[in-house]
Amino acid sequence: MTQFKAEVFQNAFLPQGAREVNAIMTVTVEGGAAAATGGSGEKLIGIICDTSGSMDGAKIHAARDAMSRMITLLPGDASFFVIAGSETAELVIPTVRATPDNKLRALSAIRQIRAIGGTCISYWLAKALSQFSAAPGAIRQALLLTDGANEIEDEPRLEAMLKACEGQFQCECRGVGADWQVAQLKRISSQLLGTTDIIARPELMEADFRDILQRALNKDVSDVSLRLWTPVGAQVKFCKEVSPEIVDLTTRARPVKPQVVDFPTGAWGRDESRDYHFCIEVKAGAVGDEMLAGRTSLVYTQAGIETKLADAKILAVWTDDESKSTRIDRRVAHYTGQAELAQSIQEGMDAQARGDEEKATALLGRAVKLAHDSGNEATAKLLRKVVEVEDETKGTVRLKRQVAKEDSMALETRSTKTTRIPKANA
Amino acid sequence: MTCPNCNATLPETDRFCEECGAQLLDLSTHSAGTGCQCGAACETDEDGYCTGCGVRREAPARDHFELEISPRFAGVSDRGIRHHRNEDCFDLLQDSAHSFSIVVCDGVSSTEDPDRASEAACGAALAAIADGAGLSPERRLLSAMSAAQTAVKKLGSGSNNAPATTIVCAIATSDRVTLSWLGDSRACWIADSRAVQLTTDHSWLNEVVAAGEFTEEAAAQHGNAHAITRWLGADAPEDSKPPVLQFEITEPGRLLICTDGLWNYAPEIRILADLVRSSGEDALTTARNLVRFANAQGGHDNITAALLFL
Repeated sequence: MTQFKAEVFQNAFLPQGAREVNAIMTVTVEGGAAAATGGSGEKLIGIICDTSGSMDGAKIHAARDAMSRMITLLPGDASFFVIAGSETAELVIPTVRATPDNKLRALSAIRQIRAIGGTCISYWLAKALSQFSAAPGAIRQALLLTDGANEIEDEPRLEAMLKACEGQFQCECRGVGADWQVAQLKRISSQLLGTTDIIARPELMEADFRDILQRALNKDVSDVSLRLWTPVGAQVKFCKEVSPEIVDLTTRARPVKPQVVDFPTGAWGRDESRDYHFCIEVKAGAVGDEMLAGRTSLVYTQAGIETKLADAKILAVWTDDESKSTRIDRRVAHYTGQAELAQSIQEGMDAQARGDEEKATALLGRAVKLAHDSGNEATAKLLRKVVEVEDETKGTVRLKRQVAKEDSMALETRSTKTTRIPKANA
Repeated sequence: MTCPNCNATLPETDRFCEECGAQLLDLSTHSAGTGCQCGAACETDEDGYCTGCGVRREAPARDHFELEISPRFAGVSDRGIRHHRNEDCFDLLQDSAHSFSIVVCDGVSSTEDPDRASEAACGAALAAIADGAGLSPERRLLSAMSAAQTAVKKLGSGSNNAPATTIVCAIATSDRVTLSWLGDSRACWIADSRAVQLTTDHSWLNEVVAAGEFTEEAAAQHGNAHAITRWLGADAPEDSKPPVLQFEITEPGRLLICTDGLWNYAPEIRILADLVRSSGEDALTTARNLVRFANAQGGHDNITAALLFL
């Protein structure tokens, strides 16, 4: 039988007086999620392509090819739309079924797309939102492709639009070349429960698009929330997705009722697995007390009916046995390390940008050591493109004099990707 | 203090009445904590926690559980007094009129999730024994031990603190007991005329005494005395197969399988044998008495006792 499974890993034992409870929850979908939830199975894919003037030339050619390829690959039971974005947004193809006829029409329309004008992402998202709101039960996935920064004047509008789009659809963001801003796209993708990545060279676009489409089509159930119950007086210090990527969900908490909040997790696909780190501050109990510090559940809402998919308990037990309370759960330790790794990279890159070489060297060195220790080879590889590693076990590095901008952007965008705890030698 | 049940006069510190066996102290609320302070304002959720402050109000089912297959075949597992949860587990199976199986496991407290380790081992071992009906007891036990090892190994993922548990598996017919074990949970045969410990603990103490490195008295004083040398788990020493032992039954008697939470208070089998013999002809009553005895002695560890009267 297919189902959601939630499992909590923690050391529940706390020394006298301690208040902070840490736990890692692994959520796994076994088999197809749709079977577990009875979701509609409808899928709507929205393609949002930057067609501002800067895309002219090789970029727009590659983007047209990639979009055409993606549309060709769409299964007949999916629906799609295409938006061309500049200082306005043009609905090139309104939502249609991916029938052979409609695909042909779309391909011919895409060939007509020209790169001209500015970049006002809020309008692109607004247009997408109008299409997605007409398909509430479907898996709603957008892909946003851009090569440049959003215009300053559009920022307040973008802020408001992101709020409006939150929970309405998910959005993967891809930056082409090296003139876009990592922080800007990350803000969009993280608020819309997607990822941001760099496509350094236009010819890589097609493979990436195919990948995004594949993942979107694998999603079976949308609008899943992570519900957290905490005791009276407890405070959620943070709730983060920590695998496959670090995404801080703390500020996204939506109150449901007293003691209960929901964090959005978006759509889930077949055999998907994610890890979450909860840090909850509770009232200290007396030695011997056992407290339910948190009850987590995955909740799926369709047509106003809530279905609980899985749940798990986070416990706190106060003990005077130090051999129990001093132990740190290795999964908690691992993801605390991965979060520090991401933060070291972020702060190290910032320091480097400011010209503070001493600080940058120390932080990126620390990152090299953390990546090495945790077996995060993908991040270690990206780090080696920006620093010369002398000793990865000690974290001694030198900053490289010449670093391709694409390489530092790749490191910045992918620094939040984590590894799962290694199976052996942990 | 007087016993509320039989009015016997008892020392203030006793937890059980020596005369009638009545429990003098409610174990479910005995944890040293102050517990939930919310009063009636809050409800208790389905797992026994207060819906307000989250503090546990009801003892979890695993804290004390009993199984009774028949008046001659039963067992009890108990959290004890000092431990916060019950990391022991046991299960019983009777698959024909003269075929009885017992599995007893004691999760190793110093590892991760010992309660899950003992539960997984117990479940896997008994399932393998049940599946092996028709095979020889040795074959059934070896496949049980291997299934239990696989189940516990699956819980650990290579940590140097991977979940681990002891195990004793026994298959008994009317004339023979076949046993396999790892660690220091014990099987004993208690007849009217004699009492023998059938298993040999896989313990540091036994090893150094056998090797002549320590005298038994000196070893018993050592900090490692209770350390076990074999167990089930991802990091179990993979040196050899678990021992399999056959014991021919020549007289009526009682097969006792227990964890160290019981035998620590009765290191000499004579004490256990007296307790078992004086508990009468009912297996469940006998198991309860043994648990009560260990709790009265301090209940420093989880206690499990399974009994088969043959």
